[in-house]
Amino acid sequence: MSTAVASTIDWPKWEDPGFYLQDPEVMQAQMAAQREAAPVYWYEAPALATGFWVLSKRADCRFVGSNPELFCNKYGFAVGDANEPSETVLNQLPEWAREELAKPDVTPAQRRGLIARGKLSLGDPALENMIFLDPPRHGQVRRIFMGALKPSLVRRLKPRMAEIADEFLDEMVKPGDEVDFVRTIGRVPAAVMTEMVGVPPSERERFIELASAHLEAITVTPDKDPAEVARVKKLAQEFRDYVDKLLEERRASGGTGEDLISVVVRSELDGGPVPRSTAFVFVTHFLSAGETTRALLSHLAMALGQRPDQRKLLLDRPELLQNAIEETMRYYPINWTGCRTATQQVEVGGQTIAKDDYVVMAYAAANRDPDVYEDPDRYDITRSFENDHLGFGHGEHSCPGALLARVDSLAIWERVLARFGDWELAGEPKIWSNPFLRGVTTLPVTFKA
Amino acid sequence: MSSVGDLDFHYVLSCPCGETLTAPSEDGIVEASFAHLREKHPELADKYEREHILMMARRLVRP
Repeated sequence: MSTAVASTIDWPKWEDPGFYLQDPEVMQAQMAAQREAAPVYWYEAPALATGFWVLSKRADCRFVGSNPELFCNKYGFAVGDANEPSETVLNQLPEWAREELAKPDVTPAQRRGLIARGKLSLGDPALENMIFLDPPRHGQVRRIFMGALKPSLVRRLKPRMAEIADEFLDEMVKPGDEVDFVRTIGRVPAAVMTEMVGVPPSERERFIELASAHLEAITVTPDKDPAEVARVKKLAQEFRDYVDKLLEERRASGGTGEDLISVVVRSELDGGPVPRSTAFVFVTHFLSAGETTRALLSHLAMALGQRPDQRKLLLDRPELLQNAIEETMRYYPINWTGCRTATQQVEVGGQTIAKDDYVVMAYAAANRDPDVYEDPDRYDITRSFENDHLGFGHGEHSCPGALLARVDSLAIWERVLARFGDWELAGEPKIWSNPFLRGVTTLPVTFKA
Repeated sequence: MSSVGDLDFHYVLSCPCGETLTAPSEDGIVEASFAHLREKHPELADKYEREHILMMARRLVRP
């Protein structure tokens, strides 16, 4: 893109939820304009408590992700954490966070971190969420999580993922019928995950509903209807009670099972059993993986549904499926961005970033970096990935469920391709998107025999 | 236009440390991964077996 063209395009309004609701290609054009003119850019807006740096080049994002001693997580992890919080948001924070915020010597970075942690803490200041941890604690906690999702377990699960996919396809998807991909095949990852967690099949649907409410409850937004907040909070409390019951049951039985909670219960942290405040967060992370994998599966169905030549290529050459999954993660990353705070003055891309400055790694922009990807705005399932995309982030905070998401997607799509000769979109997809995540709400499709 | 001509594939493994390993075969990616573990992450060298590495490796189009 030339500078002349770039200058006619608005640059992203990173803090504005409306920016993320635009057509993805309009967003990408805006991100490209900024990336070309100012790949490391200091961004300010009235709604922000503090400005932040936006990094749009893959190399700069990787540098930040690779150096946790220079860029920490404890002062926020999402673009929304930089916002000046409204009264509604502040009122929804737990008491402990409000007390801390009221102290006179709180720095802007500490304030950002308190609000971010308060939103995710569910009222419990002891709740230990990996997303806010830095070395060495982060490694100690993440090791337990990764121990539960180890490659041998994922490998053993792949046939079961295919079986569950077949169960859903048998029941819900008939050739010639119009179905909503998101609410049929898209539910398979959540079903897999509930089984991995050890929820009985009879309670699966209820558990998924409660888990979804929990995810909604931690997304504090200024415009939420108080009645809806109350409804979601009630369901989320039910979810937490259910998770606590699962944890107690596994502890009582000595954690001898093969499910993920048993693995966590058998693990040690600080020389003793993993405390509830850490184990609980693990379970919520396991369940979030079902939702994000649903988004990946749906993006793939949508991307190929919109591109008949690429779809035919995959149908003719199913060995390209892994490539198609990677290209989908590059082209439609589920996380728009990841954020850190500089722990000291550091130079990135020729700009000096000061201690405590907030830094936004714009993964979606970096995944279209023309210095790395040839013809980056083309969705191409034959693209080679000698340069990994940032669809799962990068560095020690990269998505811990990446392997599971890849294998789950592969197992499910292998079954879809084995059972159907083709598919077409039967209507316009509906996308959900916020400044942190993106997914698909509805995707009408018709599969053919 | 679904024809893209011949495509070569290779095995790719992205280490969380940021390094991307590639090899033309399963045996090759296993060997490259163990060599990388021994050199860069010796504390993990005995934690992985061949099957773990093959689970993490992806068979992708080669440039």
